[in-house]
Amino acid sequence: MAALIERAEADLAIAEEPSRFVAALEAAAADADAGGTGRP
Amino acid sequence: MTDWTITTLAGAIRARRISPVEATRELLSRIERLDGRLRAFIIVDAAGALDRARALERDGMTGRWHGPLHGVPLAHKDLFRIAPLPTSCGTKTAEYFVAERDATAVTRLAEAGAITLGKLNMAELAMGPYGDNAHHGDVQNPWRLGHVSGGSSSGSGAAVAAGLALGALGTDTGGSIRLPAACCGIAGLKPTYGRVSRAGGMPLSWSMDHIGPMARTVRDVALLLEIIAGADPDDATASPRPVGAYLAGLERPIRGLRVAMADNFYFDGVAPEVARAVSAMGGVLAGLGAQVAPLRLPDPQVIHDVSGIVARAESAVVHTRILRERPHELQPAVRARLEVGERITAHDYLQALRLRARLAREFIAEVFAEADLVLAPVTPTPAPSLSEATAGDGEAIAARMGRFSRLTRPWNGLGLPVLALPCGFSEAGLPIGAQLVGRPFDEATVLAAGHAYEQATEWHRRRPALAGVEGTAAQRASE
Repeated sequence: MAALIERAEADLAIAEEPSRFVAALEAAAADADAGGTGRP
Repeated sequence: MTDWTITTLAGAIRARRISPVEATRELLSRIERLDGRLRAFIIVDAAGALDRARALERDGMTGRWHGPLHGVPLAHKDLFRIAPLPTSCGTKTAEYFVAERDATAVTRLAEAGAITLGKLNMAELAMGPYGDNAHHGDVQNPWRLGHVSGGSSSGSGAAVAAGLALGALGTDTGGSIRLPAACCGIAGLKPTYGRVSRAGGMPLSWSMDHIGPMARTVRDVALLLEIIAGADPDDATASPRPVGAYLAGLERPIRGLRVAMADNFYFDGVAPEVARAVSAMGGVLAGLGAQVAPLRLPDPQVIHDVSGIVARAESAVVHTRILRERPHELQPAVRARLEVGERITAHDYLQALRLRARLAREFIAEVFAEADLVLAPVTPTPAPSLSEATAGDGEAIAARMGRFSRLTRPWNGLGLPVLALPCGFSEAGLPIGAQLVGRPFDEATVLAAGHAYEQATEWHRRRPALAGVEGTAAQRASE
């Protein structure tokens, strides 16, 4: 668990709460709809 | 009767070959005969179901059809608010969970014409992959009494497999729809996170919880999903993304679809007969024109562990009252799991939640550039015996629970849609299940592939013999 927490601590670019997570999944689906690979 | 599916019964009712009252009476009679031993139900609402069936029958006679489920009897896990019935959530407390309104998913099924037969047994607080329950009885596997049904939506799995209800709603925080589906030989879908409103259902871990349908066939699962999915003002996480035409899309060919056989983690330590069945499923899909190839996934152990931290921390917060005030009421393993959650710091919880978002984005970008679906087993072994699953103290059981759900939990963290469906049977005659995983909100492809596989195989047509299961609740109590 310590390694996981260290990895998260080192990544300053992410913030998370449930509706943001849904938004990321929607973005991936929209990319796939547009012919992409499903990249969020 | 025993071969009915939602689709066939709904068609028969619409054609007036059977009435909603006849169908409901038949299922209530079956519950009376079989559930004394199976223990799939916590509450059987015979009077409510028959009242509703009579009303639907009257409406049908005047041509007022409520929807595609008109007159179809279903039942749901006892963590959904369905007034006026109490909601135990599998605890000793009859009315453990209270909500302002009925569960949105259940309401949508009712609006489509469904009848609710009652509320289904479950692992206490939805915290267990086996379906044992000290308060409401251990749910028995319809394929073999004395073996687990899988959990936590244990009653949902057993009731559908035994033909006590034609479909059911379950919830899935770490595998709780897919594990009982696999153990009981039926289909179950954990939709994309955000696809189905969770309003009116007991939260266990709001970042990992999903509500989804369980039924005998992929077609029935698609039908139920199409009804329950979509935006809901009562759940801010329910996505406004349009709901797919899942039923209409079932027959689309799967030729050319890229199916990745998980090459790491998912087959490690898996029983050979399970690995063989899932690999054979890959062969069937290849025979249907899919491009099946092994693929190394971003280390699933990491998202597994992250998901576990988040789920443990959130569940301890949700159920803090019962843990502090009435811990003696909790089964030892449930208590042990909640106590682990209490010890997770806010710092670690939030870091895990942040990492979850990063891991999901990486997984989606990497894996779905190479594949359209991922294929993996649901459980490392077929359903174990109840005595084997529940041996030892709370910590030993909790550790064993973690191993049994280790192949399902990563997908909760990733939020991806996963269909569990039967792909074979063990030498002992117990079902084996596979997971088909798709892109976010691409339930249509997952369901089409599952349906194509079902049409090419016979596993979903098998029914448990239910030998020795006959016996009413009253008879059982007197034994």
